[in-house]
Amino acid sequence: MNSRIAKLALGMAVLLWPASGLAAEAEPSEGSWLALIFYGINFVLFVWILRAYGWPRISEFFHNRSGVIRDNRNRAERAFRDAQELANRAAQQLRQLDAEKRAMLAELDDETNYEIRRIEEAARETVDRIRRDTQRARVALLDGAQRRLRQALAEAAGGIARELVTRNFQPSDQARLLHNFVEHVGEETRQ
Amino acid sequence: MRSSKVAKRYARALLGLSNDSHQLESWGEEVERLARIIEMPEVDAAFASPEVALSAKIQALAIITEKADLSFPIRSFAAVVARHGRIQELPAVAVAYRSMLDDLMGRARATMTFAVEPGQRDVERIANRFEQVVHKKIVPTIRVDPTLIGGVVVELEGKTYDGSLLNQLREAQLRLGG
Repeated sequence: MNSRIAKLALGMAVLLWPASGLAAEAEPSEGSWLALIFYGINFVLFVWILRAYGWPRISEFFHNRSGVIRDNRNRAERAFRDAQELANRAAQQLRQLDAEKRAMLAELDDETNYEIRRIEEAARETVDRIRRDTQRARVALLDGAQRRLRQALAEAAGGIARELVTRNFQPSDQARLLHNFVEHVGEETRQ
Repeated sequence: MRSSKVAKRYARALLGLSNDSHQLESWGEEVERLARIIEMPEVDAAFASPEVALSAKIQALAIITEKADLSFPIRSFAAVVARHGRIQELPAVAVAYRSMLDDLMGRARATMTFAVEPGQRDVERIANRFEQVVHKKIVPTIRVDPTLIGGVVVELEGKTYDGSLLNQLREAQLRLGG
């Protein structure tokens, strides 16, 4: 509605505007007070109509327009501020993430170094243990071999001794053995 | 363990009876003779068989005691043992009786295993020495085992006194073997 009134007022202003032009194209003549008054009244009417019907609409239009623009500008400013805030926040988050990344990298480095040290320590202990076990096994094998050798020698010697004794055993030997046995039992009795 | 206790109880009862009758040694010998018969594999198998009735076992034991010419008290004792289903305990009873009798008489049984057949003098000398050890009269049982090579092994009251040459050689071998 407002826009239609504003258009009407603008149309009338355009229609009435050439009046002064037409007046200028007329032949120079003596000025007429009547015409001047007529044009003055016309002009006053024009101003009055314009003031009465066009101006409020125009004013309202521009007021609304300025309101819309102001709102848009405010929204844009708010959006800009929000965007700036978001950008700041994002930048802060980026900085935090960067700091966290650096901290994590440092932790990872520490953890990796710790694990490396631990693995090295474990490997050293394992090597020591294997070395000790090997040493023990070597000693045990050596002892076992020596013991087996001693036993084999002892068995061989025992067999030879048994054979020799059996072959050369005399009744006097039996008497001596019995005598020693009786003496030995006697010693036990005295003890 | 239980059979051993049972055997000891029977042996103690028989020992009391034989002591009263002054038949300690003879009744002991008779019980041992009966035990040897019962320990014979075919007799032992028959008495151990569950297929043979108890009455048949009692009857068989009565015949055995009669044929073995055992005295009446021992035959009666065997019948009592049989009626209680303890025929197979008789060898254990004989062992327990002998042990109790030995204790009563103050004597100990020693098994002497010689490498060669010993002379009477050697046996007496060893027995005398062991009588000094256990302060009991020694009743020797002589055995011969040539694998001992020389010397003697005496088993007395659960202990073994090894004076054999085989043992000495074995000890020397052990010392040599470490």
